[in-house]
Amino acid sequence: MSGKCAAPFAPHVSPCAAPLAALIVCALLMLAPSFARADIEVRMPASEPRTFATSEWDGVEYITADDVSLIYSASLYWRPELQKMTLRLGDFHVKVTAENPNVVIEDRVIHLAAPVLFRAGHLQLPLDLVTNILPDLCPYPVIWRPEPRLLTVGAPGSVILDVTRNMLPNGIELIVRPSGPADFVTRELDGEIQLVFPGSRVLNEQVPLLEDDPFLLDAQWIQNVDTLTLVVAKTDSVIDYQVTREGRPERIVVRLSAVPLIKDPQSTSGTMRALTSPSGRTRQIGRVVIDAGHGGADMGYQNGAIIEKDITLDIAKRLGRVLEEEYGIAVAYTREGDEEVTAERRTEIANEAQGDLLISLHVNASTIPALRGTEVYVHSPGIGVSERIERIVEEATTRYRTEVVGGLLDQSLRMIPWDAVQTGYKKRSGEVARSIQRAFNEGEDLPTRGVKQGPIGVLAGADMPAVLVEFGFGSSRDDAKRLIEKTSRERLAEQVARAIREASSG
Amino acid sequence: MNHAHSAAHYGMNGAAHSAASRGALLLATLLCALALLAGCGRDRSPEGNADGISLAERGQLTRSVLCYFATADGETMEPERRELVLDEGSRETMAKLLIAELARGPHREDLYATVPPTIEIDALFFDDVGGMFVSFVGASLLPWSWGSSSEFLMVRSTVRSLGAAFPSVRRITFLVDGRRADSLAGHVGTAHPFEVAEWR
Repeated sequence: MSGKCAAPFAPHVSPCAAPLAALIVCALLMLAPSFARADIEVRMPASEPRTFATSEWDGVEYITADDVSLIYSASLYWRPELQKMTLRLGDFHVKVTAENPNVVIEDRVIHLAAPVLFRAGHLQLPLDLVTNILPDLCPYPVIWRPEPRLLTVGAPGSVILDVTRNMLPNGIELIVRPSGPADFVTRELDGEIQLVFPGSRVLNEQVPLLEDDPFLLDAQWIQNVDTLTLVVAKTDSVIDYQVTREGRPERIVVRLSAVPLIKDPQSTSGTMRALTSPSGRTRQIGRVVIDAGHGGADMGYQNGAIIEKDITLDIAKRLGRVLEEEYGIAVAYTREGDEEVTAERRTEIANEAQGDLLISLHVNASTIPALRGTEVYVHSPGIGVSERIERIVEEATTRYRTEVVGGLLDQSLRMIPWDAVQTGYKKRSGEVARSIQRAFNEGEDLPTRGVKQGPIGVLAGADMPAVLVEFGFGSSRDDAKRLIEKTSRERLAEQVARAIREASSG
Repeated sequence: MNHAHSAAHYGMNGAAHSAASRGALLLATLLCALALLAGCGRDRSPEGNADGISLAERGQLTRSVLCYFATADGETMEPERRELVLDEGSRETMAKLLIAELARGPHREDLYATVPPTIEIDALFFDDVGGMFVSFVGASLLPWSWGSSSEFLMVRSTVRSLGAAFPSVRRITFLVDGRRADSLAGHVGTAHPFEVAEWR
C-alpha cells in the first residue's frame, strides 16, 4: 500500500515540471538576443613587436579602440545605444563611455587625461589608457615615440623598452628600462662595457648620443638569436663606471664618471656578475614626494585659524625647500596649490614621480581635548587583509599565466594589486617613521605619540617607502598655537627634513 | 477501528480523493518551500537568528549590547552596556540602533565619543559568510574633528561594538553613500573590510 502511495507522486511532479522547464527555456530564448548583440572577437596574442599609429585630437594623443583591442587580443563590446564600450582583457572588464574621461576597471574609476571621443568613425581612447593604465593589467610592454607618432607594443616576455641619458656633475648615466625584472650579465671586453640580456628584445633601439660627448664614445644594441647586448664604448675621460640595478620601477643604470665612484654593494664595476635575484632599492633617498593632505573643497580639520589644508601645504613647501637647498634631495609634490586630489591620484603621482619616499602631511584632531603631539603612521592592512591579498595575487598570477597569455608570460611576473604594493616596504617605511619621531623628540616643539600602523589609504598603493605625519592636534589649544606660528612650522619642516636625510644615510 | 474505517473510506473514494489529497499536499509543499525561502532572506526571525536576539515580551524585543568608547589617552576603549529596544527582530535594525547609541556618546564622563552625532546610515546588510556592510551617508560624516587619531577611534569602536554584538560577523566593510570609499575622512583606508578579530 505504501509503495502505491509513494509511486503516484512521480508522474504528478513531471507534468508540472515540464511546462515550468518549457517556460524557463522560452525565457532564456527571449533573453538570448541581448547576449548575441555583442560583437565578440577573440584573437591570439602576437609574438613579435608591433607598431600602431596614434593621432592627435584637441591637443591630446589618441589611439582607436580597435587598435587597443588588437594590442591586447581583447574582446570588444560596443553598445551604440549607450555609447559605451567594454574591453574584456582576461577577467578584467575595462569600460569607457564616449565623451567621458572616466574609465571603469572592475569597481575602480580612473580619470583619464582627456575624454573618450568618437572621431573619424572610430572610438578614440586617450593614449594614457594604453601607456599608463592597461600595462598594470596586461603584460604587454608598450612605448610611445612622439616623433613618428607610433606606439610600439612588444610581446610578453623580457623586453627592453629604451635607453635614456642623463648628465651628471662629473659624468653621465645611461638608464636602461626593461619592461619587468630582467636578468643580465655585465662584462668588460676590450675597454667596452657590455650588458648581456639573455632571451630579450629591444623596442626602441635608438640610444641618445651627443657629438663630441666627453664620456660616451658610442652605445648600440646588438640583437642575436638568443641574446640582446648593449655595448657601451666610453672615452678616456672615464676613469670609473658602475652598473646598478634598481627596482620599482625597474631600471638598470650605467654611470660613467671622470672621478672615482662610491661603490654601492648592489653595483657591478669592471667585473662579471650575474644579477638574477629580484632587484631591491638602495637605502638612499634621492627624491621625496611630498603630499600636502586635503585641499580644495576638502578643507581637512578646521578650528578658527587652523585650516588643515593650508597648514599642510605651507609645511610641504617649507619641507621641500629644506630638502632641496640644504640636502640636495629632489622633491615632487602631489599638489602645489589649493586643489582637491583623491587619495588614489596622490599615490599615482608619487609612483609616476618615481620617488624614493612618499611623505603625507596632516594635522590631527580629536574630540578628546587632552590629546596632543605628533604621530607618524605607516601602512599595515592587517593580517586578514594581507592573507586575502596574497590569495588574490596567487589566483590572478595563475590566471594570467594559464588563461590570458597561454603560458607565454614571463614566469617571474606576479600580479600585485594596487593596494598591496606598500606592504613590501613596511620595514623601510618603519625606519623612516622612527627617524622622524626621533627628530620630533629632539626638537621638543611638540610631544610625540610614537609610530603607529594601520590601513592608511594614501600610502597603500605607494611603490616606495611611505609615511603619514600628523603634526600635532589642531583640536589641542597648545598644539594649535604652535601650528599657527610660521617659525614653529619651519622648525617642524626642518626636523622632518633632517630625519629623512638621516634615514637616507643611516 | 477508525483507522480501518478511514482506510476503507479512502479506498472506496478512489481516484477523486487521491487527486484532491495530492493537490493539497503539493500546495502545502509549495507553501512550505516559499516560507523556507522567505526565511533565508536578510531579515531573520529572532528565534532563528545566529546572533540570538531574545524575545523579552510579546511584540517587543530587547537586546543588551556593549558600546565601546575612547578613554582619555585616545588609545584604549572601554565598554558601556546599553539596552536596545527593537520594534522588530532583524539584525539590520539592531546594528543600526547600536551605531546610533555610539553616536549618542558615552554616559561616563571619563569616556569620549568616537562616532559623529550626526551620523546617518543609508544601508546596512549582512552576507552569508560572516561579512557585514555599513554604508554611511557621506554628508553626515563631515561635521566632526577628523584626523588619523579620531578616524582610527571610530573604526575601532564601531568594529569592536558590532563584532561583540554579532558573534557570527567576522569582517565589516564601511561604505560611503553606498560605494567603496578611499577613506571615511581622508586617512584610514576603507577599501578592504576590517577584520573584527584584529580590532579588539
